[in-house]
Amino acid sequence: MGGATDLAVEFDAGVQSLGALQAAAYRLIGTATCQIDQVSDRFVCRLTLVNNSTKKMSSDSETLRTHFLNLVTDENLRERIAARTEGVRNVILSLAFGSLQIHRTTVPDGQPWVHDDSFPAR
Amino acid sequence: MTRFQPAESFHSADETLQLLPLRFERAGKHYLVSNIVGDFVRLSDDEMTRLVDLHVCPGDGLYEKAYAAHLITRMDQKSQRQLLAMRLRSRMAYLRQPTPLHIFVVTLRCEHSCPYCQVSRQSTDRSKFDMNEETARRALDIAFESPSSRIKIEFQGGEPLLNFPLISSIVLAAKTKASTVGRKVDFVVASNLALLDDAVLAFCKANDVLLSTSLDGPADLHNKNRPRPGGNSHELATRGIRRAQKVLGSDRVGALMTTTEASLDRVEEIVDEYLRLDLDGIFIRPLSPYGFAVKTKAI
Repeated sequence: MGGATDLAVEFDAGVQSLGALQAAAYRLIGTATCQIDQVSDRFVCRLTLVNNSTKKMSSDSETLRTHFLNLVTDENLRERIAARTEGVRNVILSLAFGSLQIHRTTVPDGQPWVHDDSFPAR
Repeated sequence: MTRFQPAESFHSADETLQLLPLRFERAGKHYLVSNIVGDFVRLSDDEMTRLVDLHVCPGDGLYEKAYAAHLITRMDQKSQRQLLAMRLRSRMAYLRQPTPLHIFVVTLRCEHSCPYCQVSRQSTDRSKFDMNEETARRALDIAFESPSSRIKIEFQGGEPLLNFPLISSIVLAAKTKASTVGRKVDFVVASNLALLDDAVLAFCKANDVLLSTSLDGPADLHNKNRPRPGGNSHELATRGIRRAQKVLGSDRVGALMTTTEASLDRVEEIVDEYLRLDLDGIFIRPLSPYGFAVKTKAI
């Protein structure tokens, strides 16, 4: 295993989450391997193209770097969205399956509610 | 006359906007964004940025798009959260009831050579590809571990009628077990019907076994998709359907068609073929991307 391009991309460990880097590395499978090390206050990601990568990637390490940075950016955004919506997500899940599951026929603001037994199982 | 209330009566435009749980993927120059129940919209780069930063307001188009897709809410919008919870619960309802369907692959042998076969069938002389009695008994025990009050056992293959003795053994054992534990059990044999004979029909009638077969369309289409020695798969299937309808009843035989490239321009002919055989329903299944379907590049 191992392609022509070995590339190191560094991130400030103080602002970049390891989880997002790992998620981005996972999405890179099939294109390149990604080995993540922590050196002092930096995360160092060593990227190595795999043999069957696209021609575009194999010919241009800058393309690979850009692609990886985009993946990391997306994962950072996913973490941000997850953090901001965690509360309302838990409320929805509780309403659906948990302690807030609807059994009564009205909701606090007085609107009528359909009892959940009326929804047939798939 | 009752008049509509002004627009301001219907939403608290002053309440704080909130992002709802969402997922996204890049799709070229756009984002595919989905909510917690799977509804999705396409957003441009700019729209995605504005959505995440909640730089939206009523009337700007994106506000309405995001609201309709349940990507944003207002802090006091309890009904929207309840609606999503209701839909999520409904969507995941299958998890509340373990599956009642148990598929018994009694053999991998088959005398057909369908290029789209998802099973990777073996030739008919290899008896080591048959399920044995011990495995059948253990599989039956597992099926009856299901808490469902009614289970369905479906026999598949290869061509399951090549191991009909085991089918009859399982059916009888299952019926005995069902009556002991107070359950109901239904049986289906998914067969190409080429090997259907009076003995099989008599057993199916006596034990209320349904038959399900493949009918891909008119003879030339069916035979192209489902070759067998003699090239007469369609003739045998339609003869088997007629025999089964006569002995078991027309509601005890069903057929399904596997969609291939050859099917696409012959929709009406396929439906007409089903009507010709007095089949009152058609199950249109896509070609499964497994087994020989991949190896023969039938897909």
